[in-house]
Amino acid sequence: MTPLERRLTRRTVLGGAATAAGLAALPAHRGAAAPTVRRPYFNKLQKVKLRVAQLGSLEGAKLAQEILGGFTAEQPDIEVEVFPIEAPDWDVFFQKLLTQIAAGQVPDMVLVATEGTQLFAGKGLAAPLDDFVQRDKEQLREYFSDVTPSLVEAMFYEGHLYELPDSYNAANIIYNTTMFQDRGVPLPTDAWTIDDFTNAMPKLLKQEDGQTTEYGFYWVNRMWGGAMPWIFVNDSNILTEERAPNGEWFWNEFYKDDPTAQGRGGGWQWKNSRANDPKNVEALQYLVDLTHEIKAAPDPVTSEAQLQVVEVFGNRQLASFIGGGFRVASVRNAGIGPDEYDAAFMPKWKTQRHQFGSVGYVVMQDSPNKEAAWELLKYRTRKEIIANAVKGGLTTPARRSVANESLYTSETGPKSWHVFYDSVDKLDSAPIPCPPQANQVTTIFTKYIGLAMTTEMTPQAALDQMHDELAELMAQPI
Amino acid sequence: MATGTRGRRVLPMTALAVHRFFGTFVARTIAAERRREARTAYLFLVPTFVGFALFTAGPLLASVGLSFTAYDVIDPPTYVGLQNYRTLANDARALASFRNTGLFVFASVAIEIVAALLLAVAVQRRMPSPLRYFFRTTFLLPIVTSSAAISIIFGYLFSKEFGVINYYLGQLGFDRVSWLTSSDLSLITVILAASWQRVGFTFILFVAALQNIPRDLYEAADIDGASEWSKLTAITIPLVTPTILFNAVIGVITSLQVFDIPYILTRGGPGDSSRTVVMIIQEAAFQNLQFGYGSAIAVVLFIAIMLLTILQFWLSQRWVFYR
Repeated sequence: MTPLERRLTRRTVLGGAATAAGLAALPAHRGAAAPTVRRPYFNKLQKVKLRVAQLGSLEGAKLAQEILGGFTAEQPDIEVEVFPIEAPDWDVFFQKLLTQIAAGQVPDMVLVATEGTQLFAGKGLAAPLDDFVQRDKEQLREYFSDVTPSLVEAMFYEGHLYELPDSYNAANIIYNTTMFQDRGVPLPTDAWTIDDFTNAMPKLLKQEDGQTTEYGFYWVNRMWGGAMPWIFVNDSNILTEERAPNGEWFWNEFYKDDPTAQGRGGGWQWKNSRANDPKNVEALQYLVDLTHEIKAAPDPVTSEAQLQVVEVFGNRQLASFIGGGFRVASVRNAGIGPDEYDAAFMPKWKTQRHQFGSVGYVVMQDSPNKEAAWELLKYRTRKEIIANAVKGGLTTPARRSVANESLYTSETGPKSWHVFYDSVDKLDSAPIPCPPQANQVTTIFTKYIGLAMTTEMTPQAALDQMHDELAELMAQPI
Repeated sequence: MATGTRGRRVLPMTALAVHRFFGTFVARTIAAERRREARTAYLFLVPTFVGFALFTAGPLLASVGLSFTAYDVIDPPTYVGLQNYRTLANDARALASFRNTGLFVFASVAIEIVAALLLAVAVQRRMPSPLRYFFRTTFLLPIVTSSAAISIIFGYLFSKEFGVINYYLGQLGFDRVSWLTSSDLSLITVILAASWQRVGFTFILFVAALQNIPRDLYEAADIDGASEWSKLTAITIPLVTPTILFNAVIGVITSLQVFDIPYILTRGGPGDSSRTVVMIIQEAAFQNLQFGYGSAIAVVLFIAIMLLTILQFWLSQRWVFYR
């Protein structure tokens, strides 16, 4: 018997396997303890590598890498690696990212939209930026003077600032001007109303043998740009809106003389359900009628199929849909020229309040490179960097000057590009309701909106059940 | 050689001792050889054992352990006893997902086996070899296509307004069908998509099984004037029952774990009409960060798979024919 064979009895093999199994079971607990480590903020800068996670494809990550490449040229000791996580929507992106974090792979920074700001902050994954902002306030004064307060407020949670917004998208209407004109429908003005929209719909649809072949309107069943903009313009929301205290330190410093910043606090709070508010029922009934009575809109699609909307628009089978500045590039890619489409505000109903979602980078609480990450964050908010990142209409810049001065040209369109920034700067606006339980809220919301839209439930019944589930969810601890 | 009292020849004591000694020596040598072989076998099994322990048994044990905790990945798990299992018993969505998964398993496995067997029998009929290879390859191709791609294509095909299926139904005078947006039809559409993808795997196993059936059985049946149906039911099906069992077992196990196609095609909707158990597990664990609850559902699914597999093997004694 060789020494190896002597050691390798059945008992040894099985024992070893059991040990390995036990070891495999361990990381869950070890991973659990890891995030409790809190690193000091102002680490001395050493040669570091920042890992930045963002939603999107490899091409998108390459573009971001190029944009941030200039940062490494300025700060040779800080290397930046952008890695993409592909997902059809933010909720799936967060799921994938949280899985990575659970596996112990915590990036230094993550591109997070409004949908996840409070999720990351509420779970203690993101680090508040308050100390950095107060320390470098003079450097940031120009940036904040160029960003409308509503976008910044959406990045607060419980009195602390977690992101510096670099882009956003408000839910506007993108429409085919040729189809409107050919059917004798007046083009939307800034003051158009729900009645104007309703009257336009029967004229914009085209039917053959009782089947609609060209639609007046199309939307995606998701939190941003789905049924929610109609709920907003009907002066409502699915969750109650409050403002957290303790934001004065920020507003007094950067927006003291800005009247649009008055009354803002330490971030939005959505604590309770109001899903079955009569105004919500009315808004949902409106969408159901648009689809099933007027037959001007098809059944809404899921997030996975949202590209379908742009394709149908590109095929001239669709007169209008809900979009934001991020559709400028994709509409052009779909073959619609700048003279053939335009953008409009949501039509005024009881209000003309617009829904938006803003995007920025969070610095992860467990990053050992917070100081370097903060430097990158400041670099990312520079005017020329934001302008570079949104070039061609990939998304809407958070900086007013970039949106209003140079981004939209006669080649990109649309003519009424002012609606993109004015939606959050001049009209009343608010972020989509995204408490720390945003993922569950989105699931419940899209589920019952879908059931109402397929007429399997009445709007009232769907929203009653949505209300019950949301109320139960919001009553649970975060 | 000595002679005993009754005339029997007996070995002298020394010879007996030598015989016993050699007998024992040989026996010990054989035993030692067997032990050596066993150790060598274990040596070869070590990588598999370690892999199984690390990637299958370990996570399985971890899941069982986590199912008794409340755990959100960020904070350490806390022991909650059977609370997750009690929650599952009262969770209407989770129970609906078990019902949907049961329907999916029953329908998809039945479709796959019947369609694959018929396709395999058809391909085995006389035809030019290139044509046969073409059909075999064509039927097999969906297996090597990603589920995500298939789901997206089926999403376009079955789109109510813009889908090809409804276009042709319209040409035939039918109304548009809400394949993906009706609670009554969404699960059926998912079953069709999944069956279409998987039928190739079942098909190729049946092709192999059919090739092993002796041709003389069919020739004898032809001489007796048996019809094609009689040959199928009296020769083909009985002789491929082991393959049917294999396909049924594998089909049930994989179907109980279905996730990708309904996730991309319908997102489990409308409502929860096409939501499957693994979707609920994924939702609980990775979306809601309830890893304890997700693990509890996974454990129940594991037990269900185990019991169904045992049941299938037990029932197979009555209908599977081994030559």
